[in-house]
Amino acid sequence: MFNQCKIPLAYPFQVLLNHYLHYICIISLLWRVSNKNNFLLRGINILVAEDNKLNQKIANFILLKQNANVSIANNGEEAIEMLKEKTFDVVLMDLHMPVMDGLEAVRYIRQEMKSNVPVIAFTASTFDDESEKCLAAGMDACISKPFDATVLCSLILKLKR
Amino acid sequence: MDADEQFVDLSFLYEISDNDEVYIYDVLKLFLESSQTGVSDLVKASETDDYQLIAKKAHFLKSSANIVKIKDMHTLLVQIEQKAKENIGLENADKSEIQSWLKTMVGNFNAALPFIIAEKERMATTIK
Repeated sequence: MFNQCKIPLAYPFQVLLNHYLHYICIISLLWRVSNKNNFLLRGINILVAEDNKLNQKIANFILLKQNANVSIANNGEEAIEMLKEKTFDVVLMDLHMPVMDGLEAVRYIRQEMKSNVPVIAFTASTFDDESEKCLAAGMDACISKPFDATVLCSLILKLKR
Repeated sequence: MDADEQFVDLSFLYEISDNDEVYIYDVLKLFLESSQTGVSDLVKASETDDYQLIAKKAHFLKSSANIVKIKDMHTLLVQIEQKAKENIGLENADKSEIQSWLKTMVGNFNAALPFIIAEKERMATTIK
């Protein structure tokens, strides 16, 4: 949708038209994202790695509402096992989990599994350096809990493979 | 708004669920089960000098505190977690602040419980 207009018009007009189309597309995406019942995540396979049952429930609800296919892992180790068995379009990874935490899990995914599956970190932390640790470990983005459904959906749509 | 309600804010739940009372009932039920255990575990941990454990228990409870918002609970848990992390490895670390924050948090939690239970029970009758 960002392809250049091929109509042979005068150059300045063509540039203006392309910019106009570009902004129309952005406004359209924002409108879709802000409309909560638009099945934005239909067909997207999402793995949620989170040990807190309440957070699992919240994440599951938000994602199912947008028609995503959701799988839940209770820790990093379970997430890795599930990634070996099935292809996911994006992983939502809590950082602090028993058995294997999020940072260790994503390092394994990147270095041992050589997988570039998009990983979004869930963080309940208010410590600034946590985002840096996430990105250094190989995560693609961070989102704070409790996450805004619109922001989460936008991030998934942007990063999904 | 009565005294119980002042301690609790369920607006986040209502907002994300579009007032779906079946879902809210499930969440409140889960919150009551997990948070009471979580608070008890944190109190027990605070009686030890295992600051790593205290930080871990506070961190775990923090997530739930942002979903069912009890007065000052999230803020107090952040403070407890941060102080506990600072105290890790310190000999004769001062635990008084942690205990003071915990006492306030538990007080607010206990004050909020009757309202949360009542809301859950109200929903249980309306969704049947």
